[in-house]
Amino acid sequence: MLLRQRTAALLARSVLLAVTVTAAAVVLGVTLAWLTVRSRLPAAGAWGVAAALPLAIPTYVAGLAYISRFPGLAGFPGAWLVLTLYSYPYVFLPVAAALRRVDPATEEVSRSLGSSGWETFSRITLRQVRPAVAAGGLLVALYVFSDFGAVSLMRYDAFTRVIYQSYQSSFDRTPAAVLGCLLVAVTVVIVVAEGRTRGRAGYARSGQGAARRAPTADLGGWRWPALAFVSAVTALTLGVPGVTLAVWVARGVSEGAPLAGTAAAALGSLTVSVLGAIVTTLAAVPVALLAARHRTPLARGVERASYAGHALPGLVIALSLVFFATRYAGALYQRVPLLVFAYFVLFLPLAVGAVHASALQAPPVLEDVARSLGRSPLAVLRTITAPLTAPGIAAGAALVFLTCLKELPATLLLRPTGLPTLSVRVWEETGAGEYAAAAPAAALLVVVAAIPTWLLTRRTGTLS
Amino acid sequence: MTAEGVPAVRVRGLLKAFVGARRRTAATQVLHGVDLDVAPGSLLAVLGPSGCGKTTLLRVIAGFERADGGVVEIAGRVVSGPGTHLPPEQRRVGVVPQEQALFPHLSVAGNVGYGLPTAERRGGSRVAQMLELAGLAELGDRMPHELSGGQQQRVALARALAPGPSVVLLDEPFGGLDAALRMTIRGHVRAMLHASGATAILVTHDQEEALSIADRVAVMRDGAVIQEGAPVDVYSRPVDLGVATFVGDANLLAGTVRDRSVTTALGSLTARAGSPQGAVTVVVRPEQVRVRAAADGAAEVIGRLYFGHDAILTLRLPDGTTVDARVARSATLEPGERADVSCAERVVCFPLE
Repeated sequence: MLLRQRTAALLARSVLLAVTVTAAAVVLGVTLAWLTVRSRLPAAGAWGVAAALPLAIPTYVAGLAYISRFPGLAGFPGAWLVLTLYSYPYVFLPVAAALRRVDPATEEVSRSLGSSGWETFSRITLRQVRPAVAAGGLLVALYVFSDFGAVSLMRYDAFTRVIYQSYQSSFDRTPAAVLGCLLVAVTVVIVVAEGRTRGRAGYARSGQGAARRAPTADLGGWRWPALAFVSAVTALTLGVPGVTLAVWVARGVSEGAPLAGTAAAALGSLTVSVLGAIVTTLAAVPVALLAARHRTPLARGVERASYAGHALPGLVIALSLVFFATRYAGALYQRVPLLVFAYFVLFLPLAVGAVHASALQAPPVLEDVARSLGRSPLAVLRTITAPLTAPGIAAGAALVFLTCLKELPATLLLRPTGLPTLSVRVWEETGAGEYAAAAPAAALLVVVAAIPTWLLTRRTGTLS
Repeated sequence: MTAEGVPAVRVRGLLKAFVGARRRTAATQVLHGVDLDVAPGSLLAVLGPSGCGKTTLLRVIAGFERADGGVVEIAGRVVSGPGTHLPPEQRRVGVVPQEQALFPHLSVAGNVGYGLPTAERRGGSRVAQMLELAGLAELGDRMPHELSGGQQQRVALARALAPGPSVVLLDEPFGGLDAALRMTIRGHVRAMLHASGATAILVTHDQEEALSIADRVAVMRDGAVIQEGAPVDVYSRPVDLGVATFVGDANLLAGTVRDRSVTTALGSLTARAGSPQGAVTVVVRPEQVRVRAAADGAAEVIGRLYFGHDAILTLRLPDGTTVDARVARSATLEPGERADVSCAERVVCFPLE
């Protein structure tokens, strides 16, 4: 009974956090998307890149920055702030892309039918980006439920933190397992809800002819407040961690703290992440190629799989692998293969998604033509399919590599003893209040992760 | 044995069905026994509405799809038949798909040379020769996305022609081009095919395209070839009402045939030899209708579509029937004016259904 009450309270706390973060992230993401895509904000392109960059900063790094600088934030306010600031890009990116795709002709037709500018925005423009808002919002909710870094560093008792503590503090691992199942049930509900929100309205552009680029709105007197707003958001998301980490690194260096720990952690991270990326990508290639070629239930499953990846919190996967290894395969427990396997389970959907997208770069008609020109299937694979899909596959592998690098809960539970990694080092040193020791590892993670995020947003920006 | 008299492509009784995407849905029969002969060096247009199976026919000939029955011979060799299915790379068939499908990672020269033996692939004389033929001699180093739609079309054809295939298959090759460009490219493609002496099969749903570009036209409907012949024959001697209305504009008038004479709202016309007797539907092409301005004429002009080079007038006859007439630019009339209409040419008649 007591357990049931505590569980209900835990569920309430997690739901409260998810709802408030999602609401804030939707407002923040949609506002920033509109400002950077559809308004004449000065340097809108640069702000657009800056608005996507928080995605590269793991919540435990952000948590380190905020808790070390503003200790009073611990608890709900800190968890809410950090999760909102670092998950809103899940709304921002799809909404910005959708806003770019809105056919200006539909807006013009609306205006010519007598609707005002604001009416047109709410009845036409916003309606067309609604699926993107819904999908992004649900991703944020999933993200909040499965996040481990922010809630544990901010000491807010949400699911993941309680599960981890219950796993650590007792020999009876049943409560942790029960709570883990409950958490998965919650995330599955969200994924199903996501499928329902799509509805049946068609959002593809009908009609022919190339769509024009959507016109941008003049902000007039709102120009400076808008600029202040995006500057403030960027200061919070990038400025605070940047400055804080720099200060802590400088302090650590001036105090002569050895960087050897960070170097060893970097090596450890590199080893397990490279292995994870190779194994996961190799497994993803056949699945994704098959799915891209045949419109089967599998192909549709692949498209939904990116959500499944978010729906299974890393902590739960790690716990289940711990249970499995300690019961049936003790030799694997806290060995590299088990950790790599965890990465494989966690990030296969991610890799399949990336490879699937690149497989679409090589439509079957190209292979048909190549075959008819007298080349054998193997030669066609070598000269046509491989060159066209390889860049996408490489990008997918890089994405998996980076995601492994930043992964915290599974790495924490499954890494071999004596094999430090960057993420674990940040988490442990921050937990112990050793901010100067945590900062170099955190800074390294952010720098490595920021580069591809920047490239990715730049590429999608130019493509659309 | 020489290739003399052997068709470049011979298709007999070709069958193809597609199983439904979901299990339990019935298979859709797409090809119902297609027969086709293509003479070496000629261009055959396969004309049919969308969904008639013409693209499937090309894909079966190319070897991308496996036939369920029937025989395909290319240059006298069975490539598809009972127990035989040569893979596409052994058929010596060039393909120009609707979307052209240039290899995006290869230059123009790389695309054209793709099907050649290794030695000739890079900078060989054959590549230069084909680029010359396509009028793209200067553009060998360009990438496909740097070309205009018409240039991409010519590269796709040059690539298909380069290995000297027995036959080139073109699937709606002008579908993606705008009307103005289409005319020019059509001329280029025809010139390239003739210059290289290649045999070609072109699939299209555009009757004007088929009639203007091809040596022979095969009209396809519901997975079978209904009529095959020279463009002028298909146009002026269609085998049924469906073909008649599909290959060109037509006025359909009720009539009664006695011997060679047909009584219609346009007066007494002359039927083609072999017409059925009694009640018929008469096909009168708009250009067969003669219009002569006359203040006391029996017909009234009720509509006009002006095209510049000529015009289509819609006229109401005394009995209320309307007919379209194609008239020279100089002979056009205003709506409301009166005219005499007649038809001196032989007309095609089909028995009432």
